Amino acid sequence: MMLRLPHLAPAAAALLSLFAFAPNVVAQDSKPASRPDESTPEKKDEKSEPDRHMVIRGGDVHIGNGSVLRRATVVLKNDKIEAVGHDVEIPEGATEIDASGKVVSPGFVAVRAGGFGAPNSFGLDSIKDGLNPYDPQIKLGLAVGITSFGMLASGGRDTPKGKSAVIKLAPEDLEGMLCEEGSFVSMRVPLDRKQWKAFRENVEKAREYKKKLAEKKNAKPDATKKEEKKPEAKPSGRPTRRGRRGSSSSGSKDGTPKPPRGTETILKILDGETTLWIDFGNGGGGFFSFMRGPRQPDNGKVKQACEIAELLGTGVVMDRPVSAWALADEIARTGSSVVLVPRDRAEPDKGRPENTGSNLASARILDEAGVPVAVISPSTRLSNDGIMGQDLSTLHVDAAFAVRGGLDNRKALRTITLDAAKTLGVGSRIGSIEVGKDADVLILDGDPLHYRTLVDTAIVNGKIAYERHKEPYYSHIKR
Amino acid sequence: MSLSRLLLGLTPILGLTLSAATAVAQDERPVAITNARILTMSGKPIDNGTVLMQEGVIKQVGKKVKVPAGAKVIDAEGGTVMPGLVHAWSKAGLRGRRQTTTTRMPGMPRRFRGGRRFGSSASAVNKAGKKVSDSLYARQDIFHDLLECGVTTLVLAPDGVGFPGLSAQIEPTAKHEEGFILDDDAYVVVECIAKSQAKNTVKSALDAGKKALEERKKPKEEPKKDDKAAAKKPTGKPEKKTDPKPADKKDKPKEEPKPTPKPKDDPKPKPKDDPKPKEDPKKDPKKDEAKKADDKSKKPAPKKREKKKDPNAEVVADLLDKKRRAFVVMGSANQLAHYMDAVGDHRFPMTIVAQRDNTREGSLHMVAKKLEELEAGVLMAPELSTQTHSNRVSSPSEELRKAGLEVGFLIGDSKSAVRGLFFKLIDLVRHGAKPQDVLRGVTAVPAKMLGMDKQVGTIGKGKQANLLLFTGDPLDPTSSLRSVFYRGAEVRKDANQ
Repeated sequence: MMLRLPHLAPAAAALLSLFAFAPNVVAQDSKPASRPDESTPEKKDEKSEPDRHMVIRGGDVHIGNGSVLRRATVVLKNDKIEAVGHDVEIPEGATEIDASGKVVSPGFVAVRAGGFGAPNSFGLDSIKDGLNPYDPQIKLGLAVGITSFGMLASGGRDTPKGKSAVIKLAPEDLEGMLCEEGSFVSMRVPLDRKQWKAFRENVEKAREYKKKLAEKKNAKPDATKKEEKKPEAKPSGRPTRRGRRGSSSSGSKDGTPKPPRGTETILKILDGETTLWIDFGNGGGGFFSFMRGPRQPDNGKVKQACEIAELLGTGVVMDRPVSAWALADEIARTGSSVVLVPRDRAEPDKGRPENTGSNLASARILDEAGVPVAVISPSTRLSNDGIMGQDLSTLHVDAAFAVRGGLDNRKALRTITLDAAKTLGVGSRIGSIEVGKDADVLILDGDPLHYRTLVDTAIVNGKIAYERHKEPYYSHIKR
Repeated sequence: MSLSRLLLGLTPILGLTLSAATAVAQDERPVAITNARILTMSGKPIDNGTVLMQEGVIKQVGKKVKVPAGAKVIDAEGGTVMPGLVHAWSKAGLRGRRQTTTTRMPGMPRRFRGGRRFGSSASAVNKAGKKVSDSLYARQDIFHDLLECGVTTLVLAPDGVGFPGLSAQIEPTAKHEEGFILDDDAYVVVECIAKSQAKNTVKSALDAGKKALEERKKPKEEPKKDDKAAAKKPTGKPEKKTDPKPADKKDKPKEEPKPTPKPKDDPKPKPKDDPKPKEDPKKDPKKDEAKKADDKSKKPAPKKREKKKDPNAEVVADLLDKKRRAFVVMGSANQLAHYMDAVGDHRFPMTIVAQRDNTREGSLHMVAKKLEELEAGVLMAPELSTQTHSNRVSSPSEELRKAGLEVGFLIGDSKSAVRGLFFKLIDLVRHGAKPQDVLRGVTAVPAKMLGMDKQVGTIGKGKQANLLLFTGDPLDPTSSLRSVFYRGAEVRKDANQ
């Protein structure tokens, strides 16, 4: 078994690097070509660092998509995964980490979290400018296996909206912390009749606008026109008030019609540029929302979320519904996915004929129906106050609750890695140990979902970000 | 009759004596402090030495100093003499509180005041050319109070994020506006916080400064005079004297009739002034075109209008040209990361001011290497710190010093803070700092950061005679400050009253 695509890796690396380190990598790539003399390598060392290689040998590699490679090797190059397999080429001068007898897993993805150096949600204009890569919580997050998390700084209520980011726990690395910005937006259910009507009208308007654009494109099939359209569409898609004002004042450029008011984010969703989260009104998952006690059956909300997904024609992400299992097939039909807290509890509504309330087996039921499931802990923070064991410090145990409900062990790992990353719209970058993906890897001392498992080493962006024996959190636990 | 005459006759004499007492006593008579342990801060301490001063300057220091006849001799009785404290970053006497933002919580009505408060500060500004000295009121007791506590060099730094302005060194004995400001542009203040608006302001201010610098270097025919003028260190002054007028027009007429600055008036013009200089550099080409168009229609002399320079950009240009120094507020490693993100490749002589150790955003010693690359000294609060969720006490200043950085200390802005300073220093010594290091940190190091190390901060021939006389070692809790000499005059006696 060898998962190696040597041609793809550099291309992917270059593509992805455009995001964070564009000037660096472009320089790196162009250098070898323009290097006839031997004097230039010195310069290369000065300007751009030589490639960093890291080899993790002999561990049982959980790819993250459900499969496991026993005693395999993972090769990391700079901040990407270079190769995974049993007989892979090992580059010279690579840092070797012996993981024999240990488990290699993709870094866990917390779909919703706060803290970890993320900025305050309110009054934020740019997420990157508010990041704090020196937050002591980052190391604590890595100690429990979380390497990235989704942050929704502000969400929409009756219309899709929001400022969001996927943030990595890259200590002391401001550039490396921001993984993706704006890959998901949110809206809240339930919508009342008026809101639902307005939303449906907006979606129709957006559809019409798209149709108009397509007609224009067909009428004038110039190559230049097509290119012009894209950059025009981007700024208009900004959901913030400022963005809207800007787009209304600027008017239409080059004859392309301006998107109707209130449809910018909907257009983005229709184009597949961003993922829509449906907020079930569970709050931020903080201490108080957690302390509110058992939850109410929300079949109606789930149904409305399905209607929204049908209306948009794309799958949505349902954020912590409690009775989604009762409507698993309907959810599957819309192509939506579900974020679950497997230990959420809700009394069934005895006055209703259908299935209501919670179900410990909901993850299995949804999975069997074909709904991707992501798991999150009851509290979406790391806290050292009264809710120990229910916060992000035991995210893997929450996935294990899904196993308790009958979900396959390997599939359960997906709920906090690949499927979690997919709900955030970054499934192509993080969440699994596959060639070309970001080098966010954990070396664990046992099964990823076992309660006694601890993180030995956490690698983020190809750099060792956490080592158990060096940090105070779990170094005293000897085994 | 006779009494009133007598009084009349006395008044000039009284006036003279008063002025001599209040202003610096320019006594011709030399003063000698004998039998003292002298901490020169530049070399080894001199036991049983003598300091001889005259006309505000130290004439001689050493063991075998001949005290001239007629000199006023002060017997230190074995006490210690050290240089006066150099307070390079003070807010004393500056009116007005720092702005803070209250951001509205989503979903809450606009008037709802319960929004989250973000401590750091409100909108950043680019007012690099604004002098803090312009908005300063001389007749405040605090300056003399600080002097009596031992602060003989006092530099006031303006408050604000971005480029809030130029700091000023003041003359604490001056009771009038005249002679109150010794230096009205000691350094440029920079603060960059982890917010987009602040980062963009800093970025655009530096870009504008760079542009101004390039323009200054380009034409070599006419503006040579300007260049020369700018080349002398105090030179920004002639430029600025002419320049700020157009920009600060709103301020000046207000201030001139009343020397008392209205504290509430100050923050208001900030936002008004701010956008102009910020936008100017960005829209340079457009602006030039507009100017030309204007000139054609209105005035036949286009060159005169072009000479008008943005004073803020000029100050930043001087900074980038390394003719000025900057004091950069930097509380944490995180702030450094964002600062570097905003500043990019621009480098200038700088000192870092860390008001407190912020373990939530990373202590500064975590990024000591980067600070070393910036060749920056650090001016920080003389305080110990604890890591979050731990009881372990650390000494941030000592960590930085171990990493090879030069560390000075912030001296409080109130009488009580300055009185407590030496206890804080004692605490630092208890936690591993060397006594000479902490004492240098309040004298020689900040003097060097201010570029005033030839005048103050150490005891040596030709230095200003700013001395503190302690009854024992300054770092001994049982000793006390006996007297303070400012430019050779004793401004405080018998502290233990």
